[in-house]
Amino acid sequence: MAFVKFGFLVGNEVFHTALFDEDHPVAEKWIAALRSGVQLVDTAEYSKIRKGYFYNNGNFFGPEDESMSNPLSKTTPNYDETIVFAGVIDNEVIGLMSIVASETEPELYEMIKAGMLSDPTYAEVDEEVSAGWVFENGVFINPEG
Amino acid sequence: MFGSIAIFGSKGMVRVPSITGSLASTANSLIQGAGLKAVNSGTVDTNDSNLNGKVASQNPAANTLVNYETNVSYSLYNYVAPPPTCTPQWIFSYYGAWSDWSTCSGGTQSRSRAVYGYYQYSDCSTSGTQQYDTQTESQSCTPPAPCGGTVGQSCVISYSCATVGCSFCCPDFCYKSGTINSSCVCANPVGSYFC
Repeated sequence: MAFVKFGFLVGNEVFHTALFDEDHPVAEKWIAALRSGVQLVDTAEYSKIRKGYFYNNGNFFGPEDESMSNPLSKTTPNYDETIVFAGVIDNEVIGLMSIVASETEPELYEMIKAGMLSDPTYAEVDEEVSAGWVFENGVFINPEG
Repeated sequence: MFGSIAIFGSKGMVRVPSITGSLASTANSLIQGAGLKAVNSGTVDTNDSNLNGKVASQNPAANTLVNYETNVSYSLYNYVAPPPTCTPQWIFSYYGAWSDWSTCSGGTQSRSRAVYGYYQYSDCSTSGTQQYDTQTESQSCTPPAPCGGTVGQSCVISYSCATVGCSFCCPDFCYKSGTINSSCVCANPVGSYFC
């Protein structure tokens, strides 16, 4: 297995990382998507967003609505159980990433939720990079030395 | 008729002087001064340097009445340095190479190396160099995961969309990465899924 890692940042600080196995089809897709600048969109205002849906200008559309003329209805966002972000390339949802609250340490969940809702950026990083590292002068460094 | 009077020695009897502990020159003077003849009969070894050259014994004994010009023999102390003494012990020379670390068991592993040196005897002679001890050191370790993977090794799991947390992926399956823990579980403190 060969792994590729991406870090998610708010400002210059990594708050979350995701490790992808190049040999896994889902991971392979996400590696390509992240390297292509996939847009990560929060789906919390929607009851159900799946791969194949469409997104444009702040609205999601059903999988049959290629013309994106009928935006799906929105609900009150709820992050109590999950954080789900859609990966959007060329207005199409190519996949989903989620953080499950019940499987995540509470402090980590809050930190990741806050980061994901703060218009984060992401970058490919070395495998040793983890949450807390900072991007300075073109490199990721561990502030703890 | 008067009998003849035999006179033994023209100068009579003298007492042998005490010369034990005196230097040879002093002893000779005392003996000769008493009208006797000094005879050095040899030496007696001693480890006491203070006695070197002094009279160890005399014959006849001091104060003995003897005829004039009797021989008084004496022996002198001869200092001989005491034989060297050393503490019997092993003297370190060098270490052998460390062995490989043992298999991690109970959170601990160890390795050892030979210790070489020579033995010093009480008379300061020594033996040839040989192994006389073994040095061992231990360290904490992480036992291999029972499944054969390496604890801390990255791992991935595919979950069906029926798995809790993966329903958003249906009909596809979820992807989750983590690291192998000591229970052989691909674990991740973050329940992070992709599909």
